[in-house]
Amino acid sequence: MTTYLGIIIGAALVNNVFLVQLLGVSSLFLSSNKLQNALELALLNFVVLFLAASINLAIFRLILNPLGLEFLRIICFVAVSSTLTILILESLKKKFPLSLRRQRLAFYLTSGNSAILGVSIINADSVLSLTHGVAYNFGAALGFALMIISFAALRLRLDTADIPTPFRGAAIQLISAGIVSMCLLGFAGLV
Amino acid sequence: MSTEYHREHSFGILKENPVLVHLLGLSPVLAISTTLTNGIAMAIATVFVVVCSSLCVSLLRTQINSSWRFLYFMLIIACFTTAVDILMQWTHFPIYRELGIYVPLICCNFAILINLETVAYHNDWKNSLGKAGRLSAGYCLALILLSSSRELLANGTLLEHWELLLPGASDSAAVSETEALNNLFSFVAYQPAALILLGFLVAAWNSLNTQLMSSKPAAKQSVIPAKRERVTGKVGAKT
Repeated sequence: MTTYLGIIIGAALVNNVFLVQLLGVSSLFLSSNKLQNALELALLNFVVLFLAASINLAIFRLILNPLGLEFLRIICFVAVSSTLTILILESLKKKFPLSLRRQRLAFYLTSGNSAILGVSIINADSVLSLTHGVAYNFGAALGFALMIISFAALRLRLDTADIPTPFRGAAIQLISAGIVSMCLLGFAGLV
Repeated sequence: MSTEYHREHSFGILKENPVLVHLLGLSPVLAISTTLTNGIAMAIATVFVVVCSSLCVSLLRTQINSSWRFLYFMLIIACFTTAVDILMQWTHFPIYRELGIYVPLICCNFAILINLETVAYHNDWKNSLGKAGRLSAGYCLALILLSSSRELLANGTLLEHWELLLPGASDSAAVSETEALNNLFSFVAYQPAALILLGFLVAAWNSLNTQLMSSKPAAKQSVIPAKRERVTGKVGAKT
């Protein structure tokens, strides 16, 4: 049990997908700074990242690796993640039409999230067992969602701050992301 | 920042730079840019994928089903990325090892995906090829700016180990890790510094853009000064 906990904390904080491994950074800046929208986006990203990375792990270990088809991994992983995203969004369309319309492009771009492919490829190269790999995916998805929500809150404060004109908008967000990333480097050695 | 891109939105070099203005496709830019050699290799690979995929989508756009088009786009990009991946392993193995998992991640670049969605899906192949060229020029410019500044600050060199860019380079030329630790700004080689440096670059870009805009002879539509109407006292009276 402690192994699983260690893997989850390690993936969520020490090797945070966003700011330590720098995967899918642009979706951090695509999300809006309303907290409710960010919560929806974070939830969607969490579900898609966890499910798609786990399915990809199973496909790689059970099908691609035994058959010697490793070179097909990119196409396979991408097909799984975007099919999953579109299926989830289609099923959500009837229940939550409003939130889907509000940030349609951000939702659809979840399928092209580089964190999903990155986590899948890291999983494919790693030596963890299948269940440990699923725990790693859970931790990575948790860290991803955590960062989206906390960054939305951070940007709400940045909107009201008094910032020099050229630094307004994208620049100050990048610099504060760098400072957050520096904080996350402090977790090294936790697990 | 707005998250919606309207139908005919296209990226460019200066005002609509995909990286420095729209912050798209950041993960390869930030992670790869430790040396200029890596940056150039990544830029070449990305340009290949951008141009081929937008050509492919604009030629096939009548065949693509509209509600599942993101899946088709992703599959097309993934095919070209796999081709780049395998080609690079074959001819440029040392630099492929340096770039690591970020070569496969070209296929998850938001800039390419948005370009396919907004430009290539609605234009014929000549138009979309031109716009893909502008997108890739902007992307390369940002990559080269960031990676050269990072290499200059971290190692004090520029374009070191350029021979890795030639096909069939030997393994011995690979960059050694211990070199960077002796320097003053070794912090620049880490991830936070990449984000902070890109932030400063974006700020410089913004001020450059505003200066260029203000130096232009402005005001095609000059603002007509509003007439002041009297609303108190004798309303409607001529003053």
